[in-house]
Amino acid sequence: MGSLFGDTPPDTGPAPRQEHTGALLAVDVGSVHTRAVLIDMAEGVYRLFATAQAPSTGGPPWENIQMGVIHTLEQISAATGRTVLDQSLNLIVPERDDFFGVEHFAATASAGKPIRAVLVGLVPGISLDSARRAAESVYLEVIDTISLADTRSQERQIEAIVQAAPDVIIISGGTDDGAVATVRRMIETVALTCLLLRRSTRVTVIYAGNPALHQEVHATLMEGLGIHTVVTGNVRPGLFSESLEGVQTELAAFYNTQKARSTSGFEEITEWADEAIHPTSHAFGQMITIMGTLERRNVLGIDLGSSATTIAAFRDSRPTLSVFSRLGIGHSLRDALRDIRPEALLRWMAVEADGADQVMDAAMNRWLYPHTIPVTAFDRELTYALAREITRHALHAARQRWKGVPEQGVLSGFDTILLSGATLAQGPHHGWGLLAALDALLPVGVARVLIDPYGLTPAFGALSSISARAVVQAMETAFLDIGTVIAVSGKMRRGDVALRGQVTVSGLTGFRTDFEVPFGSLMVVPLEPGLEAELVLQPRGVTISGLPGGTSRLKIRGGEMGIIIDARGRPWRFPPDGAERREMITGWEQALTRQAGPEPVLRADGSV
Amino acid sequence: MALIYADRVISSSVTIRHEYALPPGSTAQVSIGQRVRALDPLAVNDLSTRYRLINLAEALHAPPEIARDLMRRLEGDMVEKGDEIAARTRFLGRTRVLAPVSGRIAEVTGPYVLIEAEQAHTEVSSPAPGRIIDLDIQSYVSMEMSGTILELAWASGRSVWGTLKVLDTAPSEEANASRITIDHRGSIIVVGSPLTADLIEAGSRAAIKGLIGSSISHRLLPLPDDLTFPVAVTQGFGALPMSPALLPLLAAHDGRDIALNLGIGPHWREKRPEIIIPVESSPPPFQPRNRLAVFSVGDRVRVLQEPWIGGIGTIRHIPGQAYQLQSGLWASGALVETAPRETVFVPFENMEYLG
Repeated sequence: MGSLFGDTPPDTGPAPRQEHTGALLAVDVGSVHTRAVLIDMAEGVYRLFATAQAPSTGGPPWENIQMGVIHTLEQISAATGRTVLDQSLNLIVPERDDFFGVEHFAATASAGKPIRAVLVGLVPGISLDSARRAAESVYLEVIDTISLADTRSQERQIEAIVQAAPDVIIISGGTDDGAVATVRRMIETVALTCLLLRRSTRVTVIYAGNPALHQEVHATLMEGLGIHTVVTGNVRPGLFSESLEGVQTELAAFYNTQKARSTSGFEEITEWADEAIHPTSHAFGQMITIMGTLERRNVLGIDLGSSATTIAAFRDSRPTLSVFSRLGIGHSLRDALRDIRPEALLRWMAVEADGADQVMDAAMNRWLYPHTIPVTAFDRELTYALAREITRHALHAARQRWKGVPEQGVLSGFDTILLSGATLAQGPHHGWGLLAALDALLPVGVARVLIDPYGLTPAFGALSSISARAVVQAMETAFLDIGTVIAVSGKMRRGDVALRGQVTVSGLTGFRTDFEVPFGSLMVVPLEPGLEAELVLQPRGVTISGLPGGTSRLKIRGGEMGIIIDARGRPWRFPPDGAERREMITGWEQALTRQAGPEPVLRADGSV
Repeated sequence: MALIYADRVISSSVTIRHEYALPPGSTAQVSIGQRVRALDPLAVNDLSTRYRLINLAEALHAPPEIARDLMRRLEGDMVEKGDEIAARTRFLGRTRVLAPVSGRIAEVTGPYVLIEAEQAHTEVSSPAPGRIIDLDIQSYVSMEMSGTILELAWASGRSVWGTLKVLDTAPSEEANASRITIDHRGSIIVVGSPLTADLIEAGSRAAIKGLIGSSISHRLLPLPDDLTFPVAVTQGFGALPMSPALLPLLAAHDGRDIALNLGIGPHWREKRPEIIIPVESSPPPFQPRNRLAVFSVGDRVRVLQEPWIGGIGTIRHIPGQAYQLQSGLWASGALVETAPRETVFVPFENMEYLG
């Protein structure tokens, strides 16, 4: 079997016996679900042995995340016959033998309230933006910003910060060897604020500005005022250079400390782990980076969660990570709905709604009960309309932080797209999540799409620091390869043929399927996982980003859905007539959620 | 597996324990073992809300390191607007710094003087009669209360204590706002129908203490800032009538003093809104689950999503296999009797355990 996301499998062949590191266990504590995964070696190769899922128990009435974790571990034991918990319900670590305990344990978490942060910097477009980009790598809500552009008096700034009662204040500003006096004044403002804050709340200051002031910051805040202060590398060492890792690492550590302080069960889980508990977003980003590095490809990861949406990109060997704590499809849906108009949701729905009120009230009930699943067709349509709009908003915001990429419009240049989160990856059919992603991301060109049906990406990311080899080998069975999306650009009359093509399956002599795709439609050409084929594409009046004009020939591999042709062009307009619009959306849904398309379906064993 | 994702309390008389996290800067005003009445202060908070910052070095044209020595008042002193707080005498005369506002000198650090100009006094009150069982003077108070508990779906506002007045005998889909009259002043009103702008306005005019309905439209949110009473719903958002199983339960306590307890803090998810109907006796303690539990036949449940949202029923059968829903999802669930001879299939994720 080839690699999940490319034709050249990475060099991760069977590990020599002596490299066997034992069984690896990881859990991810989300707002709604707690998930666990056990990886172990079989026949010299690491494999995914078991996964488990249980309700998260950080909220009422349980108020202790350990309960959900223990339940998933009991499921792992039941599925594998390996006892992982002792009689006191503590993890058996290290491994005693093949049936007792695990050698390593890692955990990630995203559950609970986001960290409240105030950003302090000199210039909004420069150091403050860098600080914001660094801050958006964890579950954090920026409640105020202070900069030279802030017209409030120093007193008003202090009042605002005190009333915001932040958990953390991040100071940036001044390039290396740059401004000192103005940064010093900012530090003074923070110091005065901390004087007041320390009487009522515990605040941490992270300094990531001009290193010339490191000692002064330490002396003023830490030694002078007793404020917990962390000094890290400058987020903006030069006007045109940025270094986010220092702040991101410190924020991950702070997240861990903060959660341990405020979440029952967090400390106990931390004691089992080899390392501190990672923020889920960091581990997700780590995994996207691993995938991109291994294949030397551009990879985009979307994790649509209940409390937050994470967008991780690995593009031109540069990783970026953006977490949007106010854009979730469950716990933070009420915040997300402040930015989403009902009309924006209605346009994606194939069923007729009883006006905007029905849509918004149903969405608010989803916010009230974020663990619930859609039962009716209306709720399914609403769920995927929400998924589209939340992902679209998150991507738009994330793109402002990508370098060398237009801030809006179609999305090109990603070879692989990974979809994660229950809505995108555990829908009634893979086509639902795929369609929502295509509509929200508007990719053009050729991209493979993977989904994470068990929600394991963060757990794998956390385990990668223990054994990258184990993770790389096991993820072959963890992610589901949906297939290859070919999305055309351009405009023409709906219904006219936009693309002709042929699929010739390798190894099945003479087995060829011809197809035509009308403009404005979606089509699935089934090609089972494990099959390889030559795909000939002849666009007519449209283009395919990344391919030369005229006829193109591609080597392509099969997937759960096969080859997905998106001939809707970019961008499209919704018909003003409601019935016509619903008919159009219904057509797209049917194309991706039923195996409609050229018959017959090919199977991996060659049978038809 | 039939795991319980949501667990809501609708209890007969129990003794419950609640821990209230105190807002930053609070100080507890109670002691362990103390009995408290409804609305007794558990903690007080005097947080400054306005500050004035003075840079003495700049104002007095003095080196920062000597600025503190030029102070004429001490840290902690109360000052009136115009009072001299620092001065410097030089050969050309005397330069003075006067207090720009009345307040307290909160901090003197380096060349800076910080004056707290205003303080807001807030209290954290006991929602219902009870006994203090544990506390940390600056971070939390734990209380034990005895009564019937009904957890609600959503609420907005602050906790109140008042007389329960149930206006409806049966759930309905439409509210008649004229039923709320001046006679209801100071009462916590329950209607079996969705809340409307007219109802809320009628409640405002009548100076009621609280309003509980079955549901509320998203259009009414956010509620007006000047609304003086809390608003709560039992079912959710939209135009949902109250569950026929809930209204009689509330009606049975008509005329009693109750607490509409919305918890403390802005994030209501940390604490569900609830009605506490106190009892004098010492009922058995409420036993929260210490493990994840599974649904069983005979469990009372409430449906949380359409098409049977808000319905309360009893699990009659748990099929061994998953069913495909209209949405296309396959789900495990239970057959729930929501009304006599009316049994519906509900996924486990979409119902909450009531007992």
